[in-house]
Amino acid sequence: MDFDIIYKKYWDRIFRLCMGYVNDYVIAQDMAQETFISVWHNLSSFRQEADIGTWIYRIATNICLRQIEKDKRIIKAEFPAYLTDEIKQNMEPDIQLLYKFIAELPEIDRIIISLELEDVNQDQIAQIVGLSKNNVRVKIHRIKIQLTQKFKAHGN
Amino acid sequence: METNLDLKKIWCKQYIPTTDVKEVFKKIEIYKNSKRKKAVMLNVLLFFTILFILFIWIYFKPQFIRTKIGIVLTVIAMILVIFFNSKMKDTFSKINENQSNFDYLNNLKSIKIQENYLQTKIMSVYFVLLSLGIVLYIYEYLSMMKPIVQSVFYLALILWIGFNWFVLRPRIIKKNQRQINDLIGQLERIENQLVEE
Repeated sequence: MDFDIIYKKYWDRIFRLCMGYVNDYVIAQDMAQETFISVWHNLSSFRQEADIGTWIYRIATNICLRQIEKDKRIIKAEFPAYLTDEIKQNMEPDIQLLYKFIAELPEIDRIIISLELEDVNQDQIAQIVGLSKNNVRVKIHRIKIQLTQKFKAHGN
Repeated sequence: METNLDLKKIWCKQYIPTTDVKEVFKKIEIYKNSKRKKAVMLNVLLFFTILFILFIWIYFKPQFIRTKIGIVLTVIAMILVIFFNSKMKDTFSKINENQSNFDYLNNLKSIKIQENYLQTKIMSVYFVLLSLGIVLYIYEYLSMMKPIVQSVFYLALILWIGFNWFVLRPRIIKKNQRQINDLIGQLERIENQLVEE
């Protein structure tokens, strides 16, 4: 499969996934780019019988998890203030809240709910995370209740 | 599932920075260059270390074989640490990312535990080689001096080796272990989230 096509198809999804994990534009963008660098490196070894989406999401979520190693080493890159303000001003508060609430969840919950919101089916989520499908279903249900409660508590 | 639909709708409205695929390729190039640079740097360092040994060998003309062994041991100690550090940095980035989060975390953890073990061993080997190397090296030159000067030098050497072994080495090992144990703790915390409910 052509890298350009994969990039165009998955860039938005992977960025949102990373954004759900860190809720920081600069780090999310870096992580998404890192995912595609890894995809580019490993594309030749990708077996066609596997689902490319599952493959890419696995790489992306593992890169998200590796963030704990980097957190201590990397000083967050300075993001031009005007850009964050501009983005924030144009963004509905609900979007900011949802990403904030997700980023407050435990790491694996963040990954599971982000994949669910990306419309990845529960079988695939189970394969990506390494849990049983049943467990994923239970977790998704619980996370959604948690998020809804957080929205309600915030007055939405 | 109204909540579900709403959440998905909100989720998809996120602002997405438009990044050209060329930017990714630029990063790939930077990544490749930094790898190349690292390899070159390591070779340059080794080259100058060898030059340094040759310089001592030629300039000071050691007569005893033990002096030469001392020089070699000291250099081996330094090379050992340089190689170990660069190898460990690489191992971390080489972990296969195409596995489930559960397996990935497990692998990360076992690598970190292995790193912890090796780091402790390498530091001890480094200090033993360095101390032994210096003792062997200095013997020839000290034997030409007066006994009183020899005693002062040997005393200073013993103090220096003692300081390295009993103060510096444990301090370095402790600092490294604290960092690695912190990370292992974090990995275990995430792993616990993957326990089936």
